[in-house]
Amino acid sequence: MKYQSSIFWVAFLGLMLSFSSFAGAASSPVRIAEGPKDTVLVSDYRRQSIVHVDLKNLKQRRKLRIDGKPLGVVWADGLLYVGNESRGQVEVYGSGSKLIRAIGEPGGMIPNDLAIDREGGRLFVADCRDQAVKVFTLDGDYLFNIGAASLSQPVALSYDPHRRELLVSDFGCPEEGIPSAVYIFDGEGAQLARIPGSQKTGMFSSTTTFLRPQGVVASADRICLVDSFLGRLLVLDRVSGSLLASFDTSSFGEKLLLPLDLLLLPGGDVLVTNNRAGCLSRFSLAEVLP
Amino acid sequence: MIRALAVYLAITALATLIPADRADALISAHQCAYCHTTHLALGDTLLHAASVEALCLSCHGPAGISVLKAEVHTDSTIAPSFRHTCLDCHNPHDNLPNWKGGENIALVGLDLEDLGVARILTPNSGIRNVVFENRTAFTQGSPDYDGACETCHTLTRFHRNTADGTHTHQVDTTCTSCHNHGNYFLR
Ligand code: HEC
Ligand code: HEC
Ligand code: HEC
Ligand code: HEC
Ligand code: HEC
Repeated sequence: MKYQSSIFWVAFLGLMLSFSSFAGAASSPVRIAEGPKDTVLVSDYRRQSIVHVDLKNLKQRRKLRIDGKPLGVVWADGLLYVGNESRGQVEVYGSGSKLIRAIGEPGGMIPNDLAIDREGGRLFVADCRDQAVKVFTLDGDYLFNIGAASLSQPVALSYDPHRRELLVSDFGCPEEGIPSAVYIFDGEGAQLARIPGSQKTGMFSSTTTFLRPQGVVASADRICLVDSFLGRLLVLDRVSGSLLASFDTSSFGEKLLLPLDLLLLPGGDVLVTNNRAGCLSRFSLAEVLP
Repeated sequence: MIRALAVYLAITALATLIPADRADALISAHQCAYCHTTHLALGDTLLHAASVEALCLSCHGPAGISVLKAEVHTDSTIAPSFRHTCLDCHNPHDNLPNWKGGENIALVGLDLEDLGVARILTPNSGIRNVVFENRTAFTQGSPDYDGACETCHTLTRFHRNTADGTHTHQVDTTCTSCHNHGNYFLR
């Protein structure tokens, strides 16, 4: 018992320490992605850097300065892709943190979130400037837009390599009566499913599960997402869209304040970028994920 | 629960009673439904300061849908610690007239005393007027010192809400081009 609680405290301190070097009012974690060799990558909007965090102790290993404010981040096959809001492009960094190329015209996109389909060699960009999901080759050639007919204001996305599906969080468009939603597409852009955040339950009533969905990921028949306004991590059933679980406080007691993204870890834990709290928050979902 | 119901009724009533002209005056991206949702599966949330900050930042913060980025106003560790959030300066609903008879822009100033006039609850000087009609007039100077960037200040070197200190720093400029809103109004 005593032993367990000291492990708890060590883990807790680790979490706080890693981000206190990174914390203060100034740190602003936005997107999180799997990195090379037991690391996770976090984009820090305010500090204009991509932070490599050690998965074992959640401490900062190193930091790459970005010339501009980073949003989306994804790592694949030795290359780091960063959505640079200030430049309006996606930047690709190679080994030694060397900038290799930029994707898109300068100022052409607000690259809010990125995902990669390694097998198909494609890069997906949630572009808040054109309010579209753009598909590029990994060399940076523009291919097509996904979901032009259905998406209103896409903000975040992820690619599920097992099912070969793209999940997109969308803020919707209340003035046209379109609620926020999570959309699922196949790799070619055909829509497979739509999970609305609000549903009409009668002539004057409706029920709302989420309002401002950001980071979204799939795990078998479950969908996990964070709601940036409600400050919650939600687990939904993929088929029915029904709410299976909801968390607002992490395993270590931090409240979620403007959570923006999440990453599933092996073993059923989830790391959430807790933007206003300026830290990564850890949740155990082992009981709700298959 | 009763409060939730009252707010719900007020919102539904206002939304139907307030005719198009008032609705037009609002920013088109600020539809009632964007900020007020009454039936949450997780229990209804009423808007309070902390949730309002998250509400505004869900669109005006990093990765939000609005191109206009904003942050709270806080110290750079030089001044004594302070922190002002969105509702300390902004009325979420409308641009209000100011006491001089003009109308404020950028939703600056709240109707704190039901007088229909833009005011701000300052940290050291009680409730004060705020006048902010265009983006090159963030200060008003003598005798009222009630511009958007001076009405609160009592300890800064520049632009306090009294004749004390320096009042010549960058007058008639767009203060926020250097003191960026996305950077806590620091530099
Ligand atoms: C940009 C976000 C936003 C929009 C758009 C908005 N509101 Fe509000 N509203 C708020 C906030 C925040 C409060 C709480 C204000 C406070 O605590 O002082 C509020 C409070 C209210 C209240 C009073 C509730 C109370 O607790 O006192 C009513 C009524 C209301 N809003 C109606 C409306 C109507 C009708 C519309 C559309 C014309 C609308 N609102 C649009 C943010 C918004
Ligand atoms: C659903 C998204 C959303 C939310 C929530 C939201 N805004 Fe906005 N707001 C916008 C958009 C969109 C614009 C128009 C600018 C643009 O196109 O990006 C805007 C414009 C503004 C402006 C500029 C108005 C002008 O006349 O120059 C202010 C000030 C503002 N918002 C304050 C707020 C505050 C304060 C809150 C919280 C009470 C809030 N907003 C909540 C989306 C939002
Ligand atoms: C200290 C007072 C103050 C606080 C606190 C404050 N604002 Fe503002 N805000 C202003 C002023 C003054 C302007 C006008 C700035 C300009 O025109 O450059 C403004 C402008 C804006 C605009 C329009 C920006 C533009 O470039 O036109 C938005 C959006 C906005 N505020 C949102 C917010 C949000 C969201 C918060 C809370 C996180 C917030 N503000 C907190 C004073 C404040
Ligand atoms: C709601 C009140 C309020 C408003 C409005 C406000 N400020 Fe401040 N500001 C403060 C307080 C409180 C301090 C701390 C010093 C003091 O009390 O005078 C401060 C300090 C500052 C500082 C020094 C901060 C530091 O630590 O270095 C700057 C710069 C500043 N304000 C810029 C602005 C600008 C620019 C505007 C207009 C866009 C503005 N402020 C509007 C409350 C406000
Ligand atoms: C060209 C850029 C620029 C513009 C425009 C600008 N400022 Fe500043 N401001 C600065 C710099 C640089 C400082 C650092 C102070 C110094 O001179 O040592 C500063 C400092 C301040 C301070 C803090 C002083 C202290 O107590 O230490 C306040 C308050 C302030 N400015 C208010 C304003 C207001 C109000 C406006 C608009 C009328 C404005 N500034 C416009 C650059 C600017």
